Amino acid sequence: MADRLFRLVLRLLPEEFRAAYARDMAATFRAEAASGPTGARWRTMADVVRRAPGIHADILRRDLRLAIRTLTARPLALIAALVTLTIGIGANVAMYAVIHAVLLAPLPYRDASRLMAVRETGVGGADSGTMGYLTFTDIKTRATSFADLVAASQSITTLAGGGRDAERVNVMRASRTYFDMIGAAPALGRTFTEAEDKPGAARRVMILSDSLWRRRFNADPSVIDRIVELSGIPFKVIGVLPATYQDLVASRLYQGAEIWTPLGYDPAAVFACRTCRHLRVFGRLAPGVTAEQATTEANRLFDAFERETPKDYNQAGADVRPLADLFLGPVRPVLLTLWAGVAALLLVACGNVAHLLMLRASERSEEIAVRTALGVSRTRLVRQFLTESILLAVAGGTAGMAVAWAAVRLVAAEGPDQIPRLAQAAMTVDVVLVGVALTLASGVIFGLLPLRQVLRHAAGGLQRPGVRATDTATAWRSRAALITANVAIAVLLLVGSGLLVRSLGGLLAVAPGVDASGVLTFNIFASGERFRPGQAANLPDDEQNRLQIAAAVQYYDEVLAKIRALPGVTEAAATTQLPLGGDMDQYGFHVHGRATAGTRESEAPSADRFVVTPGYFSALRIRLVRGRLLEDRDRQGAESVAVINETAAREVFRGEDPLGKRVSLGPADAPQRLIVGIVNDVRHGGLDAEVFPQVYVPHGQWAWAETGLAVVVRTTGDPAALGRPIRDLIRGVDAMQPITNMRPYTEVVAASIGTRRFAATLLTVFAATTIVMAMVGLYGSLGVMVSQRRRELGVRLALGATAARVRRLVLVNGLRPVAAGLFAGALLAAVSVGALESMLYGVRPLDAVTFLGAAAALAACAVLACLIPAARAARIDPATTLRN
Amino acid sequence: MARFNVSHFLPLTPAMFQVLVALADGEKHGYAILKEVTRRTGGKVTLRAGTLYTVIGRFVDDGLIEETDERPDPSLDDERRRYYRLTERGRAVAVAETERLTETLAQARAKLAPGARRV
Repeated sequence: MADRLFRLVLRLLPEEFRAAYARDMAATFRAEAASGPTGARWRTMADVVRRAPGIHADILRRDLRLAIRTLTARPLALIAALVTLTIGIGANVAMYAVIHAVLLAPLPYRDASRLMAVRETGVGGADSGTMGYLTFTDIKTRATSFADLVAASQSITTLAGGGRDAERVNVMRASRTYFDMIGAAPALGRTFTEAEDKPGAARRVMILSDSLWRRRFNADPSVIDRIVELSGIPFKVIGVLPATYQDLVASRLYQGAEIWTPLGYDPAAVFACRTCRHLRVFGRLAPGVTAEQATTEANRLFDAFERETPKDYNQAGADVRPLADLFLGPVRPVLLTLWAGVAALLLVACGNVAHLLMLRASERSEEIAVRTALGVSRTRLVRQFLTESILLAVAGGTAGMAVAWAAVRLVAAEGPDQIPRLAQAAMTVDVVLVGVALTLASGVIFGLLPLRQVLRHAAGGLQRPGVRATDTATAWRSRAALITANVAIAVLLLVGSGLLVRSLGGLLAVAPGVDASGVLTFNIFASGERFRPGQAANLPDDEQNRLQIAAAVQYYDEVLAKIRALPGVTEAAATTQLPLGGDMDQYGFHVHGRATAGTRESEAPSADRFVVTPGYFSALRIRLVRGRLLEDRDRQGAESVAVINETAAREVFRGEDPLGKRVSLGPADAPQRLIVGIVNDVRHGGLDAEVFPQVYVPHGQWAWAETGLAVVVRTTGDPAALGRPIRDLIRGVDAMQPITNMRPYTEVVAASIGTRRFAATLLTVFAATTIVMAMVGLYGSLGVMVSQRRRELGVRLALGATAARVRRLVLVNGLRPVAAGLFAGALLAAVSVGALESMLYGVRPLDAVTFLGAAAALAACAVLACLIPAARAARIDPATTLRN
Repeated sequence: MARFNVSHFLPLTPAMFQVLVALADGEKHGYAILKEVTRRTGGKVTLRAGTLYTVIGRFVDDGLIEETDERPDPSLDDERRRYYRLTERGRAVAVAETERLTETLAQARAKLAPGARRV
């Protein structure tokens, strides 16, 4: 009984140790039991249990020592394997960190999957994802699919006072129930009341973000109920949001708003019209309602709206989609493509390391046979090889984790702003755990592949020392399969990156309609008491408005005139919306005297509106097609005029001459403007976006004073060098006005394709890395094959084969698996490039140039990789080889 | 193989030292080593099988002891048992440990002897 128990206890020891000593230990135990006291037996068993972990550790230590010795015996191969793994694991961990932060982390809202973005759709420019206030209130009143529906818009304000510099702060204006709907509560104070979401003085309340509260108000809790001026207008602070508050709507759609005020629109206001499409609408689905049901209901409502006021809608409909789709939808295919790219990279990396280990196994065939003959068990051999693999993986994984850490920091800081939440990418516990799992899995995968070979060598025994031809052939076949796989993956990645690069090239070749080179851009503002003349004197609204426009126009004109006087400046002008700057404002566009009924097809109810100063067109080199540009004389008092783009002329006027026609912007009964000129189209929404009708209005004739404008300055020199003199100059005119977003205009254009550039660059790097890995593998394999077949090649040469023939033999041997890989890769690419379709521009997924180019590039690399081993084979000296 | 350096093995644990000393006068199997240690120390040191074979395993790997093929007359002993003997290295390590212990002992005695530290 005790004997059996002891044998059980012995099973705690490593198999190898048991094989050597278990029988002896059992004999000793029996002898002790026969002569000693009963207690001694238990003490002996306890002793074995106590010693078992130490024995395991001893063996592991020995395996590790041996593994390190074996691995470092060939430092070049070790470095190649480590670099390969570091890149493979590093890229995957970094990409997972990005995907985790951007796609996988839930949106920071309560029950976020029920939150929807409700967008108006339509033709002729009504498809910008926004809607007019009256449309919103009608949906809110009539729809039953939503438990709540809110609208939001934005403004930008100057926060002054408190003995600090004036600061521009973005404001999100939102319906009263916005915070309740997303499930947020303030840390201090309260949210808006119903009375505050109405026009009038009561709506002058605000909620602060935690960062603004700390920066501007020293985290003072008594800030609640304090009156603070926003652009000179007193607002009462009613709440402060918690530090943990995250709001993608505010940060992505409203330029990182830090102040929230109630929407408080007056339905009768000129900007509340149905075609004044500038509000974004969000809703929470009512319990049990799906997004599809909500879409159906919203579409029905839009049909009704169109019947009721046909002049305001054109084939209107609704697009109800989860908020997550709105933010993450466009970047999902980009990130998933890149993820597939890094996964492919890791596969090639694992393949390559397996390759290296297989080469080592071939080289060590004799050692393995000797060890087996000396009684080393198969388990022991397998464990030894796996220890080597896992050690390699752990070393590569550790270095990869460091690389990932650096890469994630870089991407979070420098990645394109268009990808939401990218800045939050970090090496969190989740990410590190995925890294560890990936490391171990890689170690096991590339460790298992060479094992078959090890076991075969072990089974071969000592009677067949050296490497036999069949062994070489079998080993070569497995390595050739790996080469084929590596090349196939390289083709896939190269085709993918080639398509993205060609799309990027196509986009960069798109004429944006403006000339961005040599232009500096920045935002300036006109806020404060001096820009509200007449307010104190209680003049009528119209009169106040007229005075305010005059004050703003005079201020901007003064600044622009002074900038124009700077050396090197050829033109300076200002606009409400900078093309490609991401700021859109659409207005109803009604041609005067045209009946709306029956001619709906020809109507374009909305147009991108730009309020610009004279000189804007020449500053950005927007070409006049016909008529005249806006001029200094187009001011208050003179006839109201407008300039339109070619798309507006073509789509809205359809063959009629627009010059001399009159249009109203906003509601159909807004003041009329005479069209005096037609200019070329400007790609405002993006280089890849459709051009809408566009209308330019002189700043001096706009309906109200603009509190902020984007300035464009054309210079003959380096635009960046103008920064300091311009800042000094504006400070000289009005030190209270902040200056923001100063940068060369080319940066604005580049940022508009940031995500595409990001994807194309990364995928190209992955493809290049994969090609290098595949070629290193090919070169290494062929080199080993040549040295293993040295004798055979020597015999061939001795029997009269020419050097050229031997060279060809090796080349053909190397290129055969490459050709198979090219073919397989092209097939793989053909079936999977469809996934890239949404990221392509001006190039079809099955683009022949890209496919052939990728194949040719890889084939050329492969020939280069084969040339050196082939040359070495041709130089074999038959005499020496045969003698040896 | 790396150069042999006795100092790498020092100091030995008491169990290790006892095993080397037990083998100093000739080869023995495991149980005989246990008995020898108990006998020589008058029962003050008792090795158990787990400890003993851990030490044996390590010493065999390090080349301080080796298994011997010579067997006594099968009628006198169990032929399945493995016998171990001290190698030259093992002897060198045992001697070095003895010298180290002697030196330590001498130093301790000099310090602790009556009158060694009178002020």
